[in-house]
This record gives sequence, structure tokens and C-alpha cells, in this order.
Amino acid sequence: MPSLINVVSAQQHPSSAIELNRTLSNNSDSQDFIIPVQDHRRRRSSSIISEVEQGTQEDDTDQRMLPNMNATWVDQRGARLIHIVIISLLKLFFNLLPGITDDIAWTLTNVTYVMGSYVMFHMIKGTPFEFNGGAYDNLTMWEQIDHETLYTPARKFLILVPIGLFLLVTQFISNDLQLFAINLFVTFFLGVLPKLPLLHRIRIYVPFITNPHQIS
Amino acid sequence: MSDITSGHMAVPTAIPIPSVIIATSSAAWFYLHQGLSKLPGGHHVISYIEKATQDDPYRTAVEASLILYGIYYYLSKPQQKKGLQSNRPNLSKQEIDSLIDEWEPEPIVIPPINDKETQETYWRLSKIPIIENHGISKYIDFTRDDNKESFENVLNLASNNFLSLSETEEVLQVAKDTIKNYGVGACGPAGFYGNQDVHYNLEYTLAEFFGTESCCLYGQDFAVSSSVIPAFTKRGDVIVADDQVSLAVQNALQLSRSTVYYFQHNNMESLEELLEQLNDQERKENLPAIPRKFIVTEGLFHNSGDVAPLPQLVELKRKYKYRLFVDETLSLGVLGNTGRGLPEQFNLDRSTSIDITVGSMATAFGSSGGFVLGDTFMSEYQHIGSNAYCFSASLPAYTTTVVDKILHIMDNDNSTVLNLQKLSRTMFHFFNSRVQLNEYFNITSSEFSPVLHLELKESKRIERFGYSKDTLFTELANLQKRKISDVFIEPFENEEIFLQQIVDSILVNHNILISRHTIVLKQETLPIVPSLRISCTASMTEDELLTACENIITTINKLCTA
Repeated sequence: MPSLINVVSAQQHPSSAIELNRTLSNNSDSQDFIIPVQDHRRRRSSSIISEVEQGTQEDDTDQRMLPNMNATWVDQRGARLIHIVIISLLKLFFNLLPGITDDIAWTLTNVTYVMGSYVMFHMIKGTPFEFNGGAYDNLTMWEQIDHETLYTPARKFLILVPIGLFLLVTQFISNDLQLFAINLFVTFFLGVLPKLPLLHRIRIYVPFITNPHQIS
Repeated sequence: MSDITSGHMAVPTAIPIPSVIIATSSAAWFYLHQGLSKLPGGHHVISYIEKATQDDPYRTAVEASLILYGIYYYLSKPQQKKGLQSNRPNLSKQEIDSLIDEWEPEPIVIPPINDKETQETYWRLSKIPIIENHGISKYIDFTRDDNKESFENVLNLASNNFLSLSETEEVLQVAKDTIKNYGVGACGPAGFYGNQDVHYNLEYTLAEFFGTESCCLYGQDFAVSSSVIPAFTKRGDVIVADDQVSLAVQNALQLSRSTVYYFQHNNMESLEELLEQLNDQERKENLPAIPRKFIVTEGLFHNSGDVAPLPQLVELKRKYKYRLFVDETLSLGVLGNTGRGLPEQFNLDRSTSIDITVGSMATAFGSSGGFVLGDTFMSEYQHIGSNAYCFSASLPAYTTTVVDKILHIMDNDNSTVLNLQKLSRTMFHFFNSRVQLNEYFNITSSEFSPVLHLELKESKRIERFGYSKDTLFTELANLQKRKISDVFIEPFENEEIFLQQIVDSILVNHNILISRHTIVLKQETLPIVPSLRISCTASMTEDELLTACENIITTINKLCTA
């Protein structure tokens, strides 16, 4: 069974997961204690802005063990088209609702799309598949894309869609400052800001909105 | 901004804009307008811009900045994340190729040459007995050191085939019949046509025999733990393990990626204290997700031969809501009146006391492979989540039918198991009653264990070899922290050589094969010390065993006092 043996021998190398420290206790009976190295990510941050620590060599190995199906679909054909399709369907749906003007329908389309993508790309962490020993548990889907490489074509597309949608929407809402402000707020804070390379692996705590998170 | 010259007219009076900005942006718009009108299709752009601005320069500014950032992002080059990957050298294809061409792999084992230093490092190789032409039975013929030494008709006290049922004629006949029908290989992993009917039949038989819902068969016993534990754990989970577990379980704990805490060997107070602390800590942390929690121990310890106190473990597991994982590699077929293992020994029900049991068919059952006993959901999950099940080949059919037959024999007649237990007890008490031997050696194993572990007394070890269990482990941990894989600790090596001298002397003088407990120091992550290992099997008679034991003790005493 070559695959398993490889995994085992890779881990048996002294740079192992559980690096054992050992101190002799101060007690006279000199019982030995093997102090476990806690999972460095298992703590909760009390600060408003905190950074997810870089993974170790071992996290990297685990991440590459199998293709990360949670994020690889972003690069596949059709994954881009679906954004356009969803936006069109949303617009169609809101137009069909009674008593809604075109302005509001466009705004609702924008808000729904951007919030939906925020939940999907920036709120939910980890993967639904347990093949990586939890190596992705603290990363959002946006961060998982393309093995955390920034400025890849998929990322370029995903950041340009909310910007493009916003520009399109402002075309159709006539001189209404309130709707413009709503659209701008949503697009900027939920669609563009979390995607900035500056905020890669950064967690911002917003009271009453974000759960107290298990940071990493 | 329908009229470029009157742009400032629409500016809200509340927020004044400096005239410089108006002048420059007007000029910019003028030239842009001129340039665009010359381009084909430029008038569409002009009308878009005129419409988008809505006569509001702030909106224009916001939109323009978003567009500019979009363009900047679009034009940026892909960039690796900070950290590990960006630290890797950025090599071209030719450079990588030339590096690969230059690389010469080191041999996995450097053969010993007539150099003194190499001999010191590789003496173990020449001490490995090699049996040819026949299986492992009570009396064996073998050679060592590339046929330089050869021994005949040696009494084998180094075997793990405790019940010796696989040597009986009826079991051998089953093996022969199966080979005729099924051939000798399974040709693939369980999920890829590797499993035949006999494999599933054995899974049912094992589950029925040991009283669990289900069972999952593996190709090799050493790989079972290290595949099962990681299948159910991930980062952030908690494992509380005994600090004397075997290397297979140690590997499993490393691969589990969980936070691993160790309690003192078979010390239930230490365990309870630890569990209490962990629960307190968890309450304090108040994490959003509750981690999975396991207690990991062994039935009959591979490193010391004693038995885990199951009733207390079950009580603690229930009290603190943990799951119990027991590696019963050595205890199945050995403990309990009918050989049903640890729970039978303590009159407990396996399906309610132990959540995951790992067993081996290569020890007491004398065949090959391993298995996991537990409930149905757990077994089914292993079919997709356990590496060794998914990726390694199934057992050859005859190894499974043999176990099937042996379980059938054991079910009908437990005399072999009782005989083995009687021999184990006899051997234990025989060694335990010897005063002179007990001055030098501790017997760490329990009286139920067919494997007797003789461990040099700590005081004698310090006196004779100048190290203790603690110093050895400290040194080992230091070496591992510095990532030195070539572990050579001289006092430890000296003790191993001394123990090997005892083994050799017993072999040469009395034609009895016992063994050192195999420790691969560089793989160990726990405080483990060398020991001598004497194992009895059910095929021996009491006289045979006692005569052999007498000879062993005489030799040990002679060598220790020398």
C-alpha cells in the first residue's frame, strides 16, 4: 500500500505534528509530563482585527493531499457564466414582484448577489469535505481559491463582477441618492473590501454581526 | 454635465469643490471627449459617461475610482501568498531538471562494511533470524547474518502466534482448499474489486464473534490504527492517550492532527485529573464547535505487556463524554475465557464499552491482516474515509478463510485459549518467584500476557549503563526537536547490545530463541526503554516451557552477575 506508507513515513519525520516537549515536574516524585503542543489555532481572539496565522509545513502538506473540491470549481468552465445567469435570474425575479419599480429591482438584484457571494466566499469557513485533516478549517473560500495565490484570473473575475454590476446598476437608478448609497455601501463593504489582497487572512470583528470567532 | 463648460453649475452648494479640481477635471473631460469622438464607437462611451455621472461629480469620482481599482487589479500579476510558498526558490524548468539530474539518492540501508563504526551501528542486521523452507512453529530452523550462523531445532519463544491454531491440519486444509478456488492474491483495494465473498463473510464472522454491530477488514495490522484514528479526527480534536502506547498508535496520533495529551501509563487518577482539566478548559474557552474527544489505549500493551483497566476507563469515558479507542492487537484471542479479548476479561459487553477496537489477525489468529470492530456507521464510514482501506490491497482469500475457521474452532472449544492462559500464568509466576532475577529485572507484563517483558531495573540501568528512562527521553526529544533523524544514543545502544548478548547466549547454549523488544528509537515519541521479550504459545507443554524458562533464568543470572 504505497500511498499510506508514504503518508506515514512523511509524518514520522521528526518535524512531526505533536512536537513533544518534556519537563520534569517540580514534584519530588519526578513524574514525567509530556506537554502537548496545542493546536495553535484553537484560541479565540478578543481583538477587533486579527490575522490568521500562516500554516506550517504540515498544514501545507495536508492541504495538498487531495484537490480541494471546495475551491477548485471556481476555475472550471461555466463557473463564470453562472454569475451572469444568477444575476439575470435575480433581476427577472424582482421585476416580477408586484409594486416594485425598476430602480428598486436593480438595487435588490445587486444587494442579493453581493450578500450571497459574501456569505459564500467570506463568511463560511472550512470545507464540507473532511479529507484534509482540518487544514482548511480557518480559511474562507475566497482564501482557499488557487492555493491562496493572489491576482489569479478567477479572483480577477470575481472582483470585477460586483464592480461591473454596481456600475450597471447606477446606470439604471435615476437620480436617487439613497439607492445609490445603498448600492455603494453593499458593493464596497461586502463585494470589494473583503476581496482586497490587503485583507487576505484578516478577520474583522463587527459587534452583533459576526460571531465571536475561533481564530486562528 | 451635459455641457462641459458649465460643469460647476450642478455642484451642490453645500459641499464646495476647489476650483482647481473643477478646472483640471473639465480639461480632462474636454480632451477625453475629443479623443473618444474620433474613435469608432466612441460616442457610446461618451453617452454612457454623461448618463452615469447624473450631474454629480462625487458619484463620478466614486465610480471612476472603482473602475480604476478594477483595472489595477486586472493588470496585476499572480502573486503567491506570503509564507511557505513564497519562501520556495523560484527556479526555472532547466534549473529544476539539472538539480534532479545531479541528485543521487542515498541507499536506504547502508550495508555494514568491515569498519568498526559501521558494525556498531548495524549490528542489529546480523542478529535477525531468517527462517527458510517452513513456517513459524514451535521448533524452527533458521540462519542469521547472511547464512554465517545456522541453528536447527530451536525452541521458539519469540513467536506471536499465541494460539498456534493455524498450524493444525484442519486449518491448513482450509488454506489449501481456498488457494485452489481463489488463488493467492486479491489484486486490488477493497473498493476496486479486491474484496471477495470470503472477505465480507469474515467481516460478519468477526463482528458476530466479538459481539459488535459491524467490522471492517484491513490488509495489514500495523497500518490499521494509523488509518482509523485520522479518519475520524482532525485539527482541534482532543485525544487523551496512554503514554506507553505502541509505535503503530503513536503514528496514528501524529497523523490524527489532533491535540494529544498523555496520561501516565494505566494510571486512572492521572487520566481523571487530565479529563477534568480538559473539561474545565473547554468550559472556559467556550468554543463555537465542540471537538471530538477520544481516549486511546491498548488492550495488552505492546511495549510492556500489561492490561488496561477497562472498567475504570469505561466509567471515565461515560462520565466525561469521551469515546474509547482500544488497540487490541495482542489481546484478542488471548484475554477472556473464550479469547474474546479485553471486555470479556472484565465481564463487559464490547459493543457498549469500547467504541473503536482495532484487532490483528497476525498475532493470536496466526494469519495476516487487521480489522476494526465497532458500530455500523463507523465501519461504513471507513469504506470512504480510511486511507488504508481505500488505497491498500485486500488480503489474499486464504488468510481470511483461515481466520474464519480458527474463530469457528474457538467458538466450539475454548481449551486452546485456556491452555495458553495457563501457560502464561505458569511462566509469569515462574519468573516472578526468582529472587536473583528480580534483583536485576522488573517483570512489566501482567500474568495474563503470553508475552513476558523483562525490563532492566532503573537502578541497575543507571549503575551499568549510566542512563535512565527520563534522560533517554529528554535526549530523544531534544534530538527530535533539532530534527536530527539519525538517532544514536550510546548508553541505550549499550543496553541493547547487552540484551542481545543474553539472547545470543541463550540461543547458543540452550537452543532457545527469545528476543529483544524491537524499538526503533528514531520513530519513538514516548519514553520507552529496552526489554527482553519471552513469549509462550499454546502448542507448548508445561514441562517444555518450564525447562526453557529455567535455562533462560540461569543464563541471565550468569550474565548479569558477570
